[in-house]
Amino acid sequence: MQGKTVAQIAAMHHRDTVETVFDIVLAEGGHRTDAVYAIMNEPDVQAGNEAVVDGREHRFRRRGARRSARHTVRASPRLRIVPADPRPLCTRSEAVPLEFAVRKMTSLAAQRVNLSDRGS
Amino acid sequence: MTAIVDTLMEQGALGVWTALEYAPASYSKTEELIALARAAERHGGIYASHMRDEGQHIDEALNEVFRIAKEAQIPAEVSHLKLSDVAAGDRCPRVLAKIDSARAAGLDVTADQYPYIRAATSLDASIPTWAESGGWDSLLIRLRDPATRARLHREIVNPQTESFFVAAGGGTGVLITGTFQDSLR
Repeated sequence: MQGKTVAQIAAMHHRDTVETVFDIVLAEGGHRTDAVYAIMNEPDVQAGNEAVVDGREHRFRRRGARRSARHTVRASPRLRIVPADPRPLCTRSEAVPLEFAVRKMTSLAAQRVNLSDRGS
Repeated sequence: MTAIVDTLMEQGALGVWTALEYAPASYSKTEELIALARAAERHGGIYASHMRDEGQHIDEALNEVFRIAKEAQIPAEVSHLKLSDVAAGDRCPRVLAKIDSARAAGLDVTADQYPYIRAATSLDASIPTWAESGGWDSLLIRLRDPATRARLHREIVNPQTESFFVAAGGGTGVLITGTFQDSLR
Protein backbone atom coordinates (compact mmCIF):
# COMPACT_ATOMS: atom_id res chain seq x y z
CA MET A 1 0.00 0.00 0.00
CA GLN A 2 2.89 2.35 0.71
CA GLY A 3 3.26 4.80 -2.12
CA LYS A 4 -0.29 4.29 -3.33
CA THR A 5 -3.26 6.59 -2.91
CA VAL A 6 -6.40 5.47 -1.12
CA ALA A 7 -8.17 5.65 -4.50
CA GLN A 8 -5.63 3.25 -6.05
CA ILE A 9 -5.93 0.80 -3.16
CA ALA A 10 -9.73 1.00 -3.31
CA ALA A 11 -9.68 0.26 -7.04
CA MET A 12 -7.46 -2.80 -6.47
CA HIS A 13 -10.07 -4.19 -4.07
CA HIS A 14 -13.13 -2.93 -5.98
CA ARG A 15 -14.06 -1.04 -2.84
CA ASP A 16 -15.39 2.42 -1.97
CA THR A 17 -12.64 4.87 -0.94
CA VAL A 18 -14.11 5.77 2.48
CA GLU A 19 -14.68 2.09 3.29
CA THR A 20 -11.06 1.50 2.27
CA VAL A 21 -9.94 4.06 4.88
CA PHE A 22 -11.95 2.19 7.53
CA ASP A 23 -10.57 -1.18 6.35
CA ILE A 24 -6.96 0.01 6.64
CA VAL A 25 -7.45 1.60 10.08
CA LEU A 26 -9.01 -1.65 11.34
CA ALA A 27 -6.34 -3.83 9.71
CA GLU A 28 -3.61 -1.88 11.50
CA GLY A 29 -5.11 -3.18 14.75
CA GLY A 30 -4.61 -0.08 16.85
CA HIS A 31 -1.50 1.30 15.15
CA ARG A 32 -1.43 4.45 13.09
CA THR A 33 -0.97 4.61 9.33
CA ASP A 34 1.04 7.52 7.94
CA ALA A 35 -0.67 9.46 5.19
CA VAL A 36 0.05 12.58 3.17
CA TYR A 37 -2.92 14.72 2.14
CA ALA A 38 -2.82 17.02 -0.88
CA ILE A 39 -4.96 19.74 0.69
CA MET A 40 -3.31 23.06 -0.09
CA ASN A 41 -2.64 25.01 -3.24
CA GLU A 42 0.36 26.85 -4.56
CA PRO A 43 -0.89 30.49 -4.44
CA ASP A 44 -1.83 30.20 -0.75
CA VAL A 45 1.51 28.63 0.21
CA GLN A 46 3.38 31.25 -1.80
CA ALA A 47 1.48 34.12 -0.15
CA GLY A 48 2.45 32.71 3.25
CA ASN A 49 6.07 32.26 2.17
CA GLU A 50 6.33 35.91 1.29
CA ALA A 51 4.55 37.21 4.35
CA VAL A 52 6.66 39.17 6.78
CA VAL A 53 6.01 40.63 10.17
CA ASP A 54 7.67 44.01 10.21
CA GLY A 55 11.03 45.77 10.24
CA ARG A 56 13.64 45.48 7.56
CA GLU A 57 12.12 42.36 6.07
CA HIS A 58 9.22 44.41 4.84
CA ARG A 59 11.14 45.61 1.82
CA PHE A 60 11.13 42.11 0.38
CA ARG A 61 7.39 42.30 0.01
CA ARG A 62 7.68 45.30 -2.29
CA ARG A 63 9.92 43.45 -4.68
CA GLY A 64 6.81 41.88 -6.01
CA ALA A 65 5.82 38.28 -6.20
CA ARG A 66 6.73 36.85 -9.50
CA ARG A 67 5.50 33.31 -9.62
CA SER A 68 8.27 30.78 -9.87
CA ALA A 69 7.84 27.97 -12.33
CA ARG A 70 10.18 25.74 -10.36
CA HIS A 71 8.31 23.67 -7.82
CA THR A 72 10.84 21.04 -6.95
CA VAL A 73 9.65 20.04 -3.48
CA ARG A 74 8.09 16.61 -3.41
CA ALA A 75 5.90 15.28 -0.63
CA SER A 76 7.72 12.85 1.61
CA PRO A 77 6.89 11.52 5.06
CA ARG A 78 10.39 12.57 6.11
CA LEU A 79 9.69 16.24 5.51
CA ARG A 80 8.25 16.54 8.99
CA ILE A 81 11.25 15.26 10.82
CA VAL A 82 14.32 16.32 8.86
CA PRO A 83 15.87 19.68 9.79
CA ALA A 84 14.17 22.54 8.02
CA ASP A 85 15.84 23.52 4.77
CA PRO A 86 15.33 27.16 3.78
CA ARG A 87 15.94 26.59 0.08
CA PRO A 88 12.35 25.57 -0.78
CA LEU A 89 11.23 29.03 0.34
CA CYS A 90 13.48 30.64 -2.26
CA THR A 91 12.67 28.06 -4.91
CA ARG A 92 8.98 28.71 -4.54
CA SER A 93 9.11 32.47 -4.19
CA GLU A 94 11.65 34.54 -6.05
CA ALA A 95 10.66 37.44 -3.79
CA VAL A 96 12.31 35.65 -0.85
CA PRO A 97 16.14 35.93 -0.84
CA LEU A 98 18.10 33.02 0.67
CA GLU A 99 19.37 35.05 3.63
CA PHE A 100 15.82 36.03 4.60
CA ALA A 101 14.71 32.41 4.24
CA VAL A 102 17.51 31.36 6.59
CA ARG A 103 16.46 34.03 9.08
CA LYS A 104 12.84 32.96 8.90
CA MET A 105 13.72 29.36 9.59
CA THR A 106 16.31 29.97 12.31
CA SER A 107 16.68 33.20 14.32
CA LEU A 108 13.16 34.51 13.74
CA ALA A 109 11.68 31.27 15.06
CA ALA A 110 14.14 31.24 17.97
CA GLN A 111 13.35 34.83 18.93
CA ARG A 112 9.68 33.96 19.07
CA VAL A 113 10.34 31.64 21.99
CA ASN A 114 12.87 33.97 23.66
CA LEU A 115 15.98 32.15 22.52
CA SER A 116 18.22 35.06 21.69
CA ASP A 117 21.43 33.20 20.85
CA ARG A 118 20.27 30.79 18.15
CA GLY A 119 20.07 30.97 14.40
CA SER A 120 21.35 33.55 11.98
CA MET B 1 -3.53 20.77 34.45
CA THR B 2 -2.35 24.31 35.15
CA ALA B 3 -0.12 22.84 37.89
CA ILE B 4 1.43 20.56 35.27
CA VAL B 5 2.10 23.59 33.07
CA ASP B 6 3.69 25.37 36.05
CA THR B 7 5.98 22.43 36.72
CA LEU B 8 7.01 21.95 33.09
CA MET B 9 7.64 25.66 32.58
CA GLU B 10 9.89 25.65 35.66
CA GLN B 11 11.73 22.72 34.08
CA GLY B 12 12.43 24.73 30.93
CA ALA B 13 9.42 24.37 28.64
CA LEU B 14 8.99 27.25 26.19
CA GLY B 15 5.21 27.39 26.40
CA VAL B 16 1.99 25.52 25.76
CA TRP B 17 1.05 24.04 22.39
CA THR B 18 -2.31 22.53 21.62
CA ALA B 19 -3.33 20.26 18.74
CA LEU B 20 -6.98 21.24 18.63
CA GLU B 21 -7.86 19.50 15.39
CA TYR B 22 -7.03 16.10 16.85
CA ALA B 23 -8.50 14.00 19.63
CA PRO B 24 -8.45 14.41 22.55
CA ALA B 25 -7.55 18.13 22.37
CA SER B 26 -10.52 18.67 20.03
CA TYR B 27 -12.81 18.10 23.02
CA SER B 28 -11.33 21.04 24.95
CA LYS B 29 -13.10 24.35 25.57
CA THR B 30 -11.52 27.75 24.94
CA GLU B 31 -11.80 28.64 28.65
CA GLU B 32 -9.62 25.65 29.52
CA LEU B 33 -7.01 26.75 26.99
CA ILE B 34 -7.02 30.28 28.41
CA ALA B 35 -6.30 28.86 31.87
CA LEU B 36 -3.34 26.86 30.53
CA ALA B 37 -2.07 29.84 28.55
CA ARG B 38 -2.24 32.02 31.67
CA ALA B 39 -0.10 29.48 33.49
CA ALA B 40 2.47 29.55 30.68
CA GLU B 41 2.40 33.35 30.61
CA ARG B 42 3.29 33.54 34.30
CA HIS B 43 6.62 31.93 33.36
CA GLY B 44 7.21 34.03 30.25
CA GLY B 45 6.06 31.34 27.84
CA ILE B 46 4.26 31.38 24.52
CA TYR B 47 0.97 29.81 23.43
CA ALA B 48 1.13 27.98 20.09
CA SER B 49 -1.84 26.43 18.37
CA HIS B 50 -2.48 23.82 15.76
CA MET B 51 -5.85 25.41 15.22
CA ARG B 52 -9.18 23.64 15.41
CA ASP B 53 -9.87 24.21 11.75
CA GLU B 54 -7.72 25.21 8.79
CA GLY B 55 -10.51 25.01 6.24
CA GLN B 56 -13.90 26.60 5.91
CA HIS B 57 -14.04 27.59 9.60
CA ILE B 58 -10.56 29.09 9.78
CA ASP B 59 -11.94 32.50 10.81
CA GLU B 60 -13.50 31.06 13.99
CA ALA B 61 -10.29 29.14 14.66
CA LEU B 62 -8.20 32.32 14.33
CA ASN B 63 -10.63 34.20 16.56
CA GLU B 64 -10.09 31.57 19.23
CA VAL B 65 -6.30 32.07 19.06
CA PHE B 66 -6.81 35.85 19.28
CA ARG B 67 -9.11 35.46 22.28
CA ILE B 68 -6.59 33.26 24.11
CA ALA B 69 -3.79 35.76 23.34
CA LYS B 70 -5.92 38.62 24.62
CA GLU B 71 -7.36 37.04 27.75
CA ALA B 72 -4.15 35.33 28.83
CA GLN B 73 -2.03 38.35 27.77
CA ILE B 74 0.36 35.93 26.07
CA PRO B 75 2.25 35.89 22.76
CA ALA B 76 0.47 33.46 20.44
CA GLU B 77 1.72 31.56 17.41
CA VAL B 78 -0.39 29.92 14.74
CA SER B 79 1.37 26.66 13.92
CA HIS B 80 1.75 25.73 10.25
CA LEU B 81 -0.76 28.22 8.98
CA LYS B 82 -2.49 26.76 5.95
CA LEU B 83 -5.64 26.97 3.93
CA SER B 84 -6.85 23.48 3.36
CA ASP B 85 -9.17 22.37 0.59
CA VAL B 86 -7.62 22.13 -2.84
CA ALA B 87 -10.90 23.19 -4.45
CA ALA B 88 -10.76 26.67 -2.93
CA GLY B 89 -7.82 28.99 -3.47
CA ASP B 90 -6.13 32.30 -3.04
CA ARG B 91 -7.55 32.93 0.41
CA CYS B 92 -4.21 33.24 2.18
CA PRO B 93 -3.87 37.03 1.63
CA ARG B 94 -7.20 37.54 3.40
CA VAL B 95 -6.16 35.36 6.33
CA LEU B 96 -2.80 37.15 6.57
CA ALA B 97 -4.67 40.47 6.61
CA LYS B 98 -6.79 39.17 9.48
CA ILE B 99 -3.65 38.33 11.47
CA ASP B 100 -2.21 41.77 10.60
CA SER B 101 -5.40 43.38 11.95
CA ALA B 102 -5.10 41.50 15.22
CA ARG B 103 -1.49 42.65 15.52
CA ALA B 104 -2.52 46.22 14.75
CA ALA B 105 -5.07 45.92 17.56
CA GLY B 106 -2.22 45.13 19.95
CA LEU B 107 -2.11 41.34 20.06
CA ASP B 108 1.28 39.63 19.80
CA VAL B 109 0.22 37.02 17.24
CA THR B 110 2.45 35.43 14.61
CA ALA B 111 2.28 32.42 12.32
CA ASP B 112 4.61 29.90 10.78
CA GLN B 113 4.19 27.78 7.70
CA TYR B 114 5.82 24.89 5.92
CA PRO B 115 6.69 25.55 2.29
CA TYR B 116 4.88 22.76 0.50
CA ILE B 117 1.31 21.95 -0.40
CA ARG B 118 0.79 18.60 1.26
CA ALA B 119 0.09 17.76 4.87
CA ALA B 120 1.71 14.74 6.54
CA THR B 121 -0.45 13.19 9.24
CA SER B 122 -2.21 9.89 9.84
CA LEU B 123 -4.90 8.08 7.90
CA ASP B 124 -7.30 8.20 10.85
CA ALA B 125 -7.24 11.99 10.54
CA SER B 126 -9.85 11.35 7.83
CA ILE B 127 -12.28 10.19 10.53
CA PRO B 128 -14.25 12.69 12.69
CA THR B 129 -12.57 13.00 16.08
CA TRP B 130 -15.70 12.16 18.11
CA ALA B 131 -15.20 8.58 16.97
CA GLU B 132 -11.98 8.47 19.00
CA SER B 133 -13.73 9.45 22.24
CA GLY B 134 -12.81 6.87 24.86
CA GLY B 135 -9.52 6.09 23.19
CA TRP B 136 -8.19 4.22 20.22
CA ASP B 137 -9.93 0.95 21.13
CA SER B 138 -13.24 2.82 21.08
CA LEU B 139 -12.56 3.94 17.51
CA LEU B 140 -11.99 0.35 16.40
CA ILE B 141 -15.19 -0.77 18.15
CA ARG B 142 -17.14 1.99 16.39
CA LEU B 143 -15.72 1.00 13.01
CA ARG B 144 -16.84 -2.59 13.57
CA ASP B 145 -20.40 -1.46 14.33
CA PRO B 146 -22.29 -1.22 11.00
CA ALA B 147 -24.61 1.63 12.07
CA THR B 148 -21.79 3.78 13.50
CA ARG B 149 -19.60 2.99 10.54
CA ALA B 150 -22.36 4.14 8.17
CA ARG B 151 -22.79 7.37 10.15
CA LEU B 152 -19.04 8.04 10.03
CA HIS B 153 -19.08 7.38 6.29
CA ARG B 154 -21.84 9.97 5.82
CA GLU B 155 -20.02 12.54 7.94
CA ILE B 156 -16.75 12.05 6.07
CA VAL B 157 -18.45 12.63 2.73
CA ASN B 158 -20.54 15.57 4.04
CA PRO B 159 -18.37 17.13 6.74
CA GLN B 160 -19.57 19.80 9.18
CA THR B 161 -16.02 20.70 10.17
CA GLU B 162 -12.75 20.59 8.29
CA SER B 163 -12.19 17.19 6.70
CA PHE B 164 -8.75 16.15 5.52
CA PHE B 165 -10.36 13.56 3.26
CA VAL B 166 -12.71 15.98 1.47
CA ALA B 167 -10.11 18.77 1.44
CA ALA B 168 -7.77 16.43 -0.43
CA GLY B 169 -10.44 15.88 -3.06
CA GLY B 170 -11.18 12.35 -1.80
CA GLY B 171 -9.14 9.17 -2.08
CA THR B 172 -7.05 10.41 -5.01
CA GLY B 173 -5.47 13.06 -2.77
CA VAL B 174 -4.63 10.75 0.15
CA LEU B 175 -1.28 8.96 -0.21
CA ILE B 176 -0.36 6.11 2.12
CA THR B 177 3.27 6.65 3.14
CA GLY B 178 3.76 4.23 6.01
CA THR B 179 1.96 1.23 7.46
CA PHE B 180 2.69 -0.38 10.79
CA GLN B 181 1.75 -3.92 9.83
CA ASP B 182 4.18 -5.62 7.45
CA SER B 183 1.25 -7.35 5.77
CA LEU B 184 -0.07 -3.96 4.62
CA ARG B 185 3.15 -2.63 3.11
